[in-house]
Amino acid sequence: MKLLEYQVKNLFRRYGIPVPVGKVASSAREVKNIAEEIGKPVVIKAQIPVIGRGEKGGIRVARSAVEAETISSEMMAGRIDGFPVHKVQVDEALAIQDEYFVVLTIDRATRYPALILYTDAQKRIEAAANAIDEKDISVSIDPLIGLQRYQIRNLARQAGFPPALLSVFTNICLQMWSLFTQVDARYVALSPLVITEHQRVIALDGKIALDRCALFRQSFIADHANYILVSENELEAFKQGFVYLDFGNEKSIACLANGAGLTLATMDYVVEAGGTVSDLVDVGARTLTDHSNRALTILLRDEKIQAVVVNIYGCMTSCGEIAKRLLSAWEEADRRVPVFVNFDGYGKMEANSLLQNSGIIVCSSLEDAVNSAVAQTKEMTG
Amino acid sequence: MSILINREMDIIVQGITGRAGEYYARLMYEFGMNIVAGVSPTADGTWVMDGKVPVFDSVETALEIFPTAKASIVFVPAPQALDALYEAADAGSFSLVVCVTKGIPIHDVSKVCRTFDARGTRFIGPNSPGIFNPGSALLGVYPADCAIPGDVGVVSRSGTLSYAVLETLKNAGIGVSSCIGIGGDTLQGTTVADALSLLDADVYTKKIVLIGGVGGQEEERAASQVMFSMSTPVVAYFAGRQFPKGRTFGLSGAFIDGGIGDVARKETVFQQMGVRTVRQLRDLPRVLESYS
Repeated sequence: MKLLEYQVKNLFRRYGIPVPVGKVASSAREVKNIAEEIGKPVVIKAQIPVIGRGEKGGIRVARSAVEAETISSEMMAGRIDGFPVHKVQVDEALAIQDEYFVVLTIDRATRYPALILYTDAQKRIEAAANAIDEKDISVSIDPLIGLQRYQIRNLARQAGFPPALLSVFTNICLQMWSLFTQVDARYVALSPLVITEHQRVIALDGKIALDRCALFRQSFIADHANYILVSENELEAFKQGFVYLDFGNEKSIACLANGAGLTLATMDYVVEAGGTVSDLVDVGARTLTDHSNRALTILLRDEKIQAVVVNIYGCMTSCGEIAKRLLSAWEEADRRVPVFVNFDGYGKMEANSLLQNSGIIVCSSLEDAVNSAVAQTKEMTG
Repeated sequence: MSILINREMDIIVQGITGRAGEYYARLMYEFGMNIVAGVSPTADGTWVMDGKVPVFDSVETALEIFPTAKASIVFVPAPQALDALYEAADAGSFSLVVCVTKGIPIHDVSKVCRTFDARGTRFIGPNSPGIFNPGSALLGVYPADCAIPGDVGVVSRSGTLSYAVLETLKNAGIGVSSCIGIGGDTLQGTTVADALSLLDADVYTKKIVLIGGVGGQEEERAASQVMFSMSTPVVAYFAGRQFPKGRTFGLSGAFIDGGIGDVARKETVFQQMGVRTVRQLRDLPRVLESYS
């Protein structure tokens, strides 16, 4: 779950990480007022979850408050990568002398946190945060001890960071560590951290990805769910406690399975058989409550879905229990599309006999279910 | 007989009074495993599974009565999992800890990995279906009838998908020596590379199936090891080839961010290293048979 820039900057301010003078605005008039307040050229930045928005017209400089108003009204009237621009961040424009990218993440290879510093502006923060490059300068952090000053000094020395600004840099990194651990972030990045002509050290922009697993102790994460989960269906599933992904494709097939790997494998199968997948549901293999009925209800009422492939491996929740729930959702549905089911594992026989002549189509294999669903959508699109 | 576990091993189940804990403890017991005790902070002094297994309020008290327990399997819910895993590490007597719980915060997993690393305890998971040596031993949540004994080792990042794979192999008459489910979260106590090494060193394992998936670079990191330091042939399958960039699959480690985690890339790396991959699971039996 990635935060938007203005949310990141609010957290940075709270943790004493220096950011440019600026504010977030929801209208062009507000932008004008903020620009007047700042009293010098400003940078206007669209608040959208898009990687590399600068290259897509999402970051523009305005010399005056009037220009700021014009630019922001243009920006907010359009879409970038399909996302409407509801908010813009208005920051003072700075004369930059040096820039560094600083990333605090958990290294999947060592499984420990790592502080990384690099200067290649072409490299994406997301790439750095998800796989540490041998070329990057980094220090591995013991999660039980935490980031130490000597590690920051070593990093700064290797990166050639100006020694005169070392104490400022050290404090920024320590604050980053506090933020990283206290909000349960997957990564926190300063992108970039700049040294201005006047030797100010400022995080010009930042990125934070939160860990959804930490929802139980970070209640503020739930406040962001509204924008993170793009569709109504996803939000409803999120609230009920199962995984739902909506890719928004029209005239498509939905896949419902238990377990992430099985769901993904089912999706691959459908796409490679020539189908279009728009919705993925994982009802989970070891969940306390089985949500397959709620999941099927959501899928059946979605107009873009023309067929559903259900692939269940019965274990703690048996195929029979899932078949009963699917059947109740089927019987209550106002809109029905063909549902092709493949059961394996515990309770397969019981499930198959339960669904016989129910209208839900029991298939002899996943292959059979997938091919039937693909044929169904082909037929409907003519 | 095969890796990590055997039928003589004494096992403690942490979180045995929860629905999943009790259900799977029973399956392991019925399979013939020695489930000697359970731990639940709120159910001390009770008995579960028709009065066959005593429950203690801590691992320490369980070990006082059953000092021979060498393995623990953890079903404790995610909010309390850090505590339970620290407790397992602190007990000092386990050589193996399996964590079935999914959705543990990444910072907690990192700390737990550090703790187990320092103590030299083998930690498998989190979000792991455990270890299954068909016909011999089970420490986990595998359905016991999904596989037959044989000489194929399986390493998997996912649960139900690995059951489906085991069943595909069974239907083709191919038996399995050991199946290790390393877990589908972002971090794993035992990595793909670790699990492959364990199977490579096992005399009963002649071929290995790796079931990987979208997200991270765990498989890529293991690819050169497969090529240069392993003698057992490996065939890999990756789930999520069609998964779009920029999305995350629930709480799992299945996501592509900044171009990292793409299945096409994993396949390319494997092919460059000369390791076989299959695009469809139904092709697995044929490729495995071609290895003998």
